[in-house]
Amino acid sequence: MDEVLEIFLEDCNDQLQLLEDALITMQNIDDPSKLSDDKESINTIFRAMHTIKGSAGMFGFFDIVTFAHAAEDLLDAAREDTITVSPDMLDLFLVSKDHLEKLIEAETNEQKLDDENVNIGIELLKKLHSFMPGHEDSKEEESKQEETVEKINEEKKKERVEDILKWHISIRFEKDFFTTGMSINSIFNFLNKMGTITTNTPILYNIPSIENLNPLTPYIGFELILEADVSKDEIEDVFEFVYDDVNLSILLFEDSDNFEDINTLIEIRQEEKLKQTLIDANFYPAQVFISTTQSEKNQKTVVTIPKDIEPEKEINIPQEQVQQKEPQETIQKESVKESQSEVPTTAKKKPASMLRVDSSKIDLLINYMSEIVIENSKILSLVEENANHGDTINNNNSDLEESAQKMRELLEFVRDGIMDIRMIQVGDSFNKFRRIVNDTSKKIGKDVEFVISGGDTELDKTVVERISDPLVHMLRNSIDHGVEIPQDRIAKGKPAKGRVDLRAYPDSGTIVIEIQDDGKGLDKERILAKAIENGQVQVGANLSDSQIYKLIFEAGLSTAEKVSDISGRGVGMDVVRRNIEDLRGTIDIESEIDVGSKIAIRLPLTLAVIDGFLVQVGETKYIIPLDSIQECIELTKKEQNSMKGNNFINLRGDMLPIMDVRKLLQEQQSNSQRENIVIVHFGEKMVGLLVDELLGEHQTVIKPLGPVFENIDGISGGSILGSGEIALIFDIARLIEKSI
Amino acid sequence: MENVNIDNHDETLLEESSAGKQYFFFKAGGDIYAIEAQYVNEMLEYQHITKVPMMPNYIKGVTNIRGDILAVVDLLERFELGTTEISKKTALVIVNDIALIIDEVYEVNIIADEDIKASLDFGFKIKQRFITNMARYTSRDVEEYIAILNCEEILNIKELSQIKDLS
Amino acid sequence: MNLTVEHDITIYEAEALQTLFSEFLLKADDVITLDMSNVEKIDMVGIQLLLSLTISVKNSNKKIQFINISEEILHEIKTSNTHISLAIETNAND
Repeated sequence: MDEVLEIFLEDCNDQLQLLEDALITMQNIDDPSKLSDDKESINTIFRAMHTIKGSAGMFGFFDIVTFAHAAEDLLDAAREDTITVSPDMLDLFLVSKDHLEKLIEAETNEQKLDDENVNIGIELLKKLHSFMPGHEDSKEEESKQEETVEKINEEKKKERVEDILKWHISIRFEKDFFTTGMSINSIFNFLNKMGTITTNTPILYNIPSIENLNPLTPYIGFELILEADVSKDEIEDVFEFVYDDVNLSILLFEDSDNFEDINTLIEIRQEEKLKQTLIDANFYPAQVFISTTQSEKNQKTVVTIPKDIEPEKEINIPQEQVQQKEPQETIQKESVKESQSEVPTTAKKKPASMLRVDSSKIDLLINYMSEIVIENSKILSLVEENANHGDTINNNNSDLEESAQKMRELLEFVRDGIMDIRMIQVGDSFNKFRRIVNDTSKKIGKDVEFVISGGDTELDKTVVERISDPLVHMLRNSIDHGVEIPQDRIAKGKPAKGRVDLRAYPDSGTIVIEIQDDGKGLDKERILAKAIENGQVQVGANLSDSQIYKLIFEAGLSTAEKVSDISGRGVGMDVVRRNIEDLRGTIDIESEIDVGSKIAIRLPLTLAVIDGFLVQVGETKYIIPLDSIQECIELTKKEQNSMKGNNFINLRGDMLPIMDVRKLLQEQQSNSQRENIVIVHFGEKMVGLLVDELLGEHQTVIKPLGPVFENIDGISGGSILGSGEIALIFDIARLIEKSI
Repeated sequence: MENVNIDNHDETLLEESSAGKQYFFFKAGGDIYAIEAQYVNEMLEYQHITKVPMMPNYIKGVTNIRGDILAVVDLLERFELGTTEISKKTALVIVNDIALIIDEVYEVNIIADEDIKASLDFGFKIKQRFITNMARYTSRDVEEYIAILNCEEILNIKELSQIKDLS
Repeated sequence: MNLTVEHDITIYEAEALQTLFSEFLLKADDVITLDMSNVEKIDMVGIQLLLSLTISVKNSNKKIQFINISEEILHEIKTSNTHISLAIETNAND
């Protein structure tokens, strides 16, 4: 996609999110009669719609403009209190927001909307119009609704000639304008839709000769006369998207002999030839231009839109002139006020310290980092080799070793720094769920309070993206199957309003995300019975509560009495589990009948590089993530013998389950004299891994093994050792699960 | 043997002559086979392979190719004709990011279209679905028909990724 | 003297074209024809470039004409109303 389109899309998405948040805030106001009082939200929604409309117009996306325009009219009426806001209206706006999203997606992908959606759009437009005041003659409204902006304007032009204003628009460009990629012609086209450009005089006298031309600098300018029934604001809006890179002046032609503004413009432009050009092009008769000395005497409010609006400077209207030239002044004042109020809300003005970075650039850096880590490993192992051979160049060797160690430290810092760039707060993603929770609850008649906490917890960008769908699914489940309908809740002595919590917090090298509800909890008996029925569990198997709850992730295990289309037939949860496992995460469930349920997802912090401990198991080397290691124990022959046949050892009084990794991985029984146990933990669980040899710490880049190995449980990737050999990386979470 | 890179984007090499396409010829288990050259990323000397547990027998493990981890398949075992004996001539052929163990590299050459026959009438040592066509090939003065391999079937990820049943 | 432009005339080709045009102008005859048959796209950077070229041509008392302009290119140029300065003839209907 075009870079400019991408920015348009991102900006629209920002606006749409603001819009949605505000709508949901309004929906959560319990007393419907108070809705119209929430002016802040109404204004937010209005401005968002307005911004989208303006940007869309820039690209010629007229379908979006028409739609946004209708919504905007309604919102404007709400702002002015000519209509009252009702819950129905809010619902309509939410649906409209969805439709707008589809329109924007279609346009940015250069696709057409399918017939179904086109019809939806038409229906929505009808409904939006129906809320407008003075809407009696429905037939007339209907036919108007189906017209495009062009037709609407044409009619306006025919019907209300007296309302057409004549504007002089003077356009110059800042030096970076061309690099924005914005097409000036598209601006002209749009202005021609709003009205008619009766004159377009390109300003060429600033263009240097070809030898002296800097091709990327805009020297060209334009002087336009636009006849249209629009306000100055509406013309400014057309340029909103390139605001910072355009030097715009908008003057209103008036019947009176008042021409101070044009002289001010001449002064500001500082272009010798401008005056004559305007005369030649019939903008103004020669007489209106006063000589330079005279114009200095006039202290007038500047009509031009400066780059950074400084409010104090704007309100500079000398008192006498206010009385004499009222109509024009009021327009100026109004627009000054408007532009002042626009400043703090323009979403695209981001704080100066932020950078928008293409995430593929970060990925590239991470790849380089990975290579560097491998090379450094090589250096370290070469250094060790030298040390082992007892080289006579001992001094150099220890220096070398020191250097290599230092490198390693530095690499860690840089690596951490790069990984940190990819970290984003989960809150942004979580916020998007508000709408879904809202819609879902309303749809099935549940009353739910949705509380998000720990939104500032950070996770790798990819992980956040991939965890989104599973979370949504589980939230839907909580609302659908967890929280009871208000009557039932009251009967149980609970508050009618249910509560769903979504929280995130860090915990010893992992991030935990919890979804908790105070609903009816999971019915162990039913789940177990269903699983036995499905053949997933043997009769008489002794499962812990935790294991029984986990059965809900097996395919086909929905115990819901009727299948609602919300969370379905029990097909979803196994996909959810798969998605989380792919992220090397685990899921745990706690539940109590009539009290509620809690699902906890644990995710590792980073994806690409981990510190590990190298061990030998049979013929292969394996790596255990350092984070998960509790301690290492060497088993003496005696201990080995006493252990024979048991799956656990006595660790300082506690029973520690043991996993013979060699057997698990079908390695030959090694002849190694030594056996070692590496005690690992994941969350609260611990297990001892029986391995042959301990080989030491090893910082490692996790490389995927590839699709051929995707079904292996217990191995999460590979790492290239300094020697070029490959070591396999244990998936501790999976191993621990297997051991229980 | 040096690493021989067949650059898939090298137009001059892969230009289809009016006669036929380019193929890569090699030996596995005593028989000669061919693969369309455009599917072959690279050939290299046999090197260390790290075993990966719980996989079917013909998946020998993984190997390190310039920092990337690639799965390794013993072609002969995939054909269920035994296990490749590792010798000095043993090589790895990279197809679709998977390394195949073969006995010996022969050459890259063109097979004329008229020399390609549909494979119905021949008796096969290997599963028919692994073969696209037969081709007439002369090597060392011996003319024979050899199998042009169907890499999609041989390297079908769904099959390859099945965990070995622990019975 | 005839010059055929082989590419589009947009921001991407602008710097190269500026150099090309400058050099061409130095050795050109009094009448220059710029063949635009291979030009598929043009933007304001391109239009400004052509305007600059036209200005330079006039300043050195030579003449320039643009020929074989496609419909799309013509449309772009007309939308910005620069066809007059580029001495590009258009149909009366447009």
